[in-house]
Amino acid sequence: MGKDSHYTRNFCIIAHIDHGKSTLADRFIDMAKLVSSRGPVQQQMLDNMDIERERGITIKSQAVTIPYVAADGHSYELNLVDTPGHVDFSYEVSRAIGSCEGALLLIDASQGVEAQTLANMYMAMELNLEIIPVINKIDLPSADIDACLHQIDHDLGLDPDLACLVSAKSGLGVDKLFEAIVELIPPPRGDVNAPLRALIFDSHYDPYRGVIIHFRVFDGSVKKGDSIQLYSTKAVHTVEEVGIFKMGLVVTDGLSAGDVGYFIAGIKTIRDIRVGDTVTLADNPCTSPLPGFKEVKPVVFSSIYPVDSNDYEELQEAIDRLKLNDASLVYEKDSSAALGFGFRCGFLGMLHLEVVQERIEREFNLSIVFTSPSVQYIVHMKDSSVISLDNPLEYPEPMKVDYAEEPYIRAEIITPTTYVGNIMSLCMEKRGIQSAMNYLDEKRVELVYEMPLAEVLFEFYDRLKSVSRGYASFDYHVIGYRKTDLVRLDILVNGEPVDALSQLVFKDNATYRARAVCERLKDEIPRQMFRIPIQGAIGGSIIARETINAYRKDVTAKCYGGDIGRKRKLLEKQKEGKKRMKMVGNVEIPQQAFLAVLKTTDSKN
Amino acid sequence: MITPACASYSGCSLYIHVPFCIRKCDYCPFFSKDNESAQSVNLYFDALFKELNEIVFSKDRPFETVFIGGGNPGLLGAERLMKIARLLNEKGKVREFTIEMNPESLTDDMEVLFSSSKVTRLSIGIQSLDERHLKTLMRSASLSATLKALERTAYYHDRYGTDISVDLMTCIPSQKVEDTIADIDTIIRRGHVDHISLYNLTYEEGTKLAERLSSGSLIPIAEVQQREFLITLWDYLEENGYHQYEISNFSRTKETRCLHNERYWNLSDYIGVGPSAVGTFHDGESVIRRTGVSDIETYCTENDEKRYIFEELSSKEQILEYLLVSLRKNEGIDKNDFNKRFPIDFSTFFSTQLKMIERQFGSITVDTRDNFRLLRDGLLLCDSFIELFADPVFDLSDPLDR
Repeated sequence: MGKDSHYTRNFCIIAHIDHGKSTLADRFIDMAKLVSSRGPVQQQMLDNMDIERERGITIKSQAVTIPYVAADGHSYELNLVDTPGHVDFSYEVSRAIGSCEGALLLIDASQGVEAQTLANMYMAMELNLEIIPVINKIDLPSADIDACLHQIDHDLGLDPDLACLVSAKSGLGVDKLFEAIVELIPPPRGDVNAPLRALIFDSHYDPYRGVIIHFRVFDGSVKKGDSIQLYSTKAVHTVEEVGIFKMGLVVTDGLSAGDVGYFIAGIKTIRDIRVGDTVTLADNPCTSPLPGFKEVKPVVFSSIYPVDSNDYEELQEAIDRLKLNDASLVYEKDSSAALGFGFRCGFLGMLHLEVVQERIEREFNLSIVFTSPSVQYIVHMKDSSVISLDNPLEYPEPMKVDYAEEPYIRAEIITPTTYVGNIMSLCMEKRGIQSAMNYLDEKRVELVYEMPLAEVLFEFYDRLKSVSRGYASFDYHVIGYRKTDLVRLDILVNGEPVDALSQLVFKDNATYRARAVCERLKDEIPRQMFRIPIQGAIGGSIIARETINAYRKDVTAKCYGGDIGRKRKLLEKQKEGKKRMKMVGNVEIPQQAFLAVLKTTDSKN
Repeated sequence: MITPACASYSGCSLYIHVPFCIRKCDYCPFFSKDNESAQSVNLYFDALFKELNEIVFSKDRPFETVFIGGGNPGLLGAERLMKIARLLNEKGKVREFTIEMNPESLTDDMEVLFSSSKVTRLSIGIQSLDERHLKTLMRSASLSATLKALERTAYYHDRYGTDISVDLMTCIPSQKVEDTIADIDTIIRRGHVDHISLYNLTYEEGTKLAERLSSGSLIPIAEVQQREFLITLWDYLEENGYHQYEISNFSRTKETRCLHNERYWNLSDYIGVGPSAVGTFHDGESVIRRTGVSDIETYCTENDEKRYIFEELSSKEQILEYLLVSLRKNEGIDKNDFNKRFPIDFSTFFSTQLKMIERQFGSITVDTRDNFRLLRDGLLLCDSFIELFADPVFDLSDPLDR
């Protein structure tokens, strides 16, 4: 405390996936000599999770304070708040952006402006951030700097003269960018003497110290020993430690208006705090919270089952552990006739689901099966009661249903004009209704569609990439519920319904979907001793059918002395393989089959 | 390292592996050496004979059965084979003494093995009596040599009462079921063959045939056709008086079954001698699997600790092996025998499987109070049934308490 917030700059980097955000963050840290050049340094230091590094995306927000001596001779503290890079996490992005005064809008010199760039820029503009356009990867042969400058001017409405040209990889231009941050981004305003008002933009769980809250102080100050109150829950905690982010946590005397840092206050679980919530002092509270707070609600639901039912408790532990660091993951116990005990989970989107799946499998070494992901439907009953449900198994008797509603989104797609036709037919196929079409320049178009979330969740993104050869970009947000024609599609294997494969689908899609699932299952379920019919059904009527033929002959020729031990070892190996199978009735269904079905939602392509 | 308990008691059997071939056949996955030098064969024989001597010395009774297999034991020559036969008959007559031989090795001088009655059974690897199929298999014997050898076996049988067994192969690429029927006709014409082992060709990892299969230069007989082949041939053998007693083995009478192989399938004690030979025997309460290292030099120069790998079979492993050999027999699983051997009750332990089988496969299996067995169409799916029964065994905790 006591330092001058005049020499503080809080900024974030907003960018489309792969435009080089994490690389630029690394470069900042390098250039600021924060990280010793000795010793091994993981690439992209802010992406801490394996999966983040592998996929090259940031899932959790991270922050770091970078000391910088500017050309004016003053020492500055630059607080970089790294934001998640995927549309599933757009609320987290908004809170991270909300804790800054400025944003670097990173544009890949060979890719230009993309939908997510736009979406994040609008978000930053709404929050009154100063935006510095940064053109990255200028040393690539395919870089088209003039086109980017034009887009900055024309599409983004920003001043192209302010644009910084950098190569985050080589460090080229980064020194100038530092200066631009100091010059262009305003220092934080705020009243140090007002009651504490601070924004929680993230948190993480430390097994030894409990929840560590990442926050930005807007007004007032906070120090060890203060009693703080969380605005939304009114819960009061005593601050045990405050500090800032370097390569680890560094304790400070306190933090005051303008600062970005962390506090620890004996909070046991991440569920006890909410990203976006306001922190104030219990005995001297602020009069109003910071704006923009909302409860994040999951939009995709799926059940997770262990492939080996004996692993149920391990799975419970794994989910509990993930939940420690992932407040947006919600779950409750679930059970299925086919798959036994498991958990019904809610996710922010498909990427979130995939990340959770990978982490359970990789970090906890468990084989799991996910059921078909679903959105949440609202079902109006004839007796005028209303239920909301996301689990196909809870779908009521069709006779009793008056009508159902499903969530819709507004989708913004930016594409080179060449692919507009392809994308329009894709969106139409996905029941999209076009609400706008804006020419950003002579080569690029922004298409705005309203379409059912359920259509977008499943393979829309992959299809979009494929019909636009990877050039189209996409962003969406949920806008509300609309009436729909819903049916429950059941899948029967060897005459037995596999509840875990049931799904709620738009009626007109049911036959296609059923055929696709049956075909995939036929490929994925190994032949067995008997023939296995695979059927798709709505109520009592079969709408799709495939058959897996039985083995006709399955016998080893010889079995003498040495063969016996060999054959036994082979059996043991097969048994190992079977751990990834689920017995449904008499049929062994490999885990792979459940996963394949999950990805099969359309046979029209 | 072979405990006196096993080596001395009369029930024990002996397998001798002779790891030499003129040329390895393209389908064969077993350990053997092509074209070894006379010196190497000598060294092997010396080491083998020494080991056999020690074993016989420690016994006070003969082995019940002996089986000399390979490779091609014929490559040891009549004199050496006779030496072995004499040694093993020293403590009394071996009840069943089989020698395996490739047709080209069945030369005049082998007669002494059979005329002396020391060797009681000859298993001859005919495989096919069709030039084309012999070529696919890359057998080293020509068709004429093979037919000549077949004639010779008839002579031994008629003159010395030698039991003759023939190995025959089917489902060879481009083969017709009629081809195998013709083979069977030729083999049984003289009436001297009491035992036939009929195998459908399999493509074992590491063999030339498997390579050709994966490179696409060989088209296997389709599964459905293989099934037709086997059904036709099994029926044909039965019609001609050869009764199936194990998936691949057919005998005219109970007496002409291969006693030695039946001992494998009953999990009786036997020891295996030679590189890559396998033995399984009791040592007190435990069951030991002893496997020879697949290396001739190691066999010739090292002691037992180095040339054999010893492992103790857990009860679970024993149950698995019991299941997998028993289900292959036409007599199937003797439930009382199972219950005597293992501390679990067959019908109770496998009740889920048995119920499922009754429902789904009642027509191709027989389940009585004392016995469970597979009928013909069940035997065709034997591996799947084995898997089915093996499933709950994996969940047993080891060791099992009695």
